[in-house]
Amino acid sequence: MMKILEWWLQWRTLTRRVRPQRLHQHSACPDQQLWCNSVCVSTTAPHKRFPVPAVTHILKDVLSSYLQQEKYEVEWSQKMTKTICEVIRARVKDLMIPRYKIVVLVHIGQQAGQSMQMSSRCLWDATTDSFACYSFTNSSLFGVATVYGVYFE
Amino acid sequence: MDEYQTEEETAFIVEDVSKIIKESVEAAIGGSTYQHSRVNQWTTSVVEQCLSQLSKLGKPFKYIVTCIIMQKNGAGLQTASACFWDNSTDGSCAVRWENKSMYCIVSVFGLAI
Repeated sequence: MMKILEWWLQWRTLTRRVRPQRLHQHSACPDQQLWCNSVCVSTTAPHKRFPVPAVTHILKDVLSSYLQQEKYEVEWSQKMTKTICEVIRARVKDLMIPRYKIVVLVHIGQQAGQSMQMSSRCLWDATTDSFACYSFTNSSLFGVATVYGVYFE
Repeated sequence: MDEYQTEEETAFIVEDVSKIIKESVEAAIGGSTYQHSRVNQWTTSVVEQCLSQLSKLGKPFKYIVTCIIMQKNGAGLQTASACFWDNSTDGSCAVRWENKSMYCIVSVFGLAI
């Protein structure tokens, strides 16, 4: 019976425009009705894509406000990286981007003339997933924040 | 509904990922001394090796791999991460490697699809 329902829902999706508020269901979706999850997974593109400019603005705002006049100290920077991470995560969540998982990475380092390189690569769907990055420097420290937005298909 | 893979086959196993990271780092920079002109190639190599091995695991995950290589001169570096995801399916692993001239910190995040 469930299999018949599942097939009927898929047929309806293919032949009609999907009405997200009635058909697709997942814990990350705003709509709470119980329908077959396979309909959601099959052809739904993100309603709202990961907003790179808005997230970059958040990173710039948070890093500048927390690090502007600060000097690098070990214990302070340990607490500050965690705080900044949580603040950024909360503000990106407030953007209410449905079905996106968020990963926030923050690095704070001392400016001591050392050389370094940071790189990242992802195995994901480039049509739906993206990232935003911002770096801040002053005479004593540097801060780099990256947010990855990964669409839950 | 039929299960295509067992729960073990679809879980993010930190030990396996940690092993992949360590092997990738050793292969790329094991025995090397820090050189600014080569560090770009090294980070790319570490990250690509990791991704290649992770994809061979054949698990239904999207992966994010980050690599930092920093010259050792007494300078401090702190790193933190915060995630909004599904704790029951997604996971992360970070490995810190060092030799006499440099630090290498690799983080892998696996997000189930």
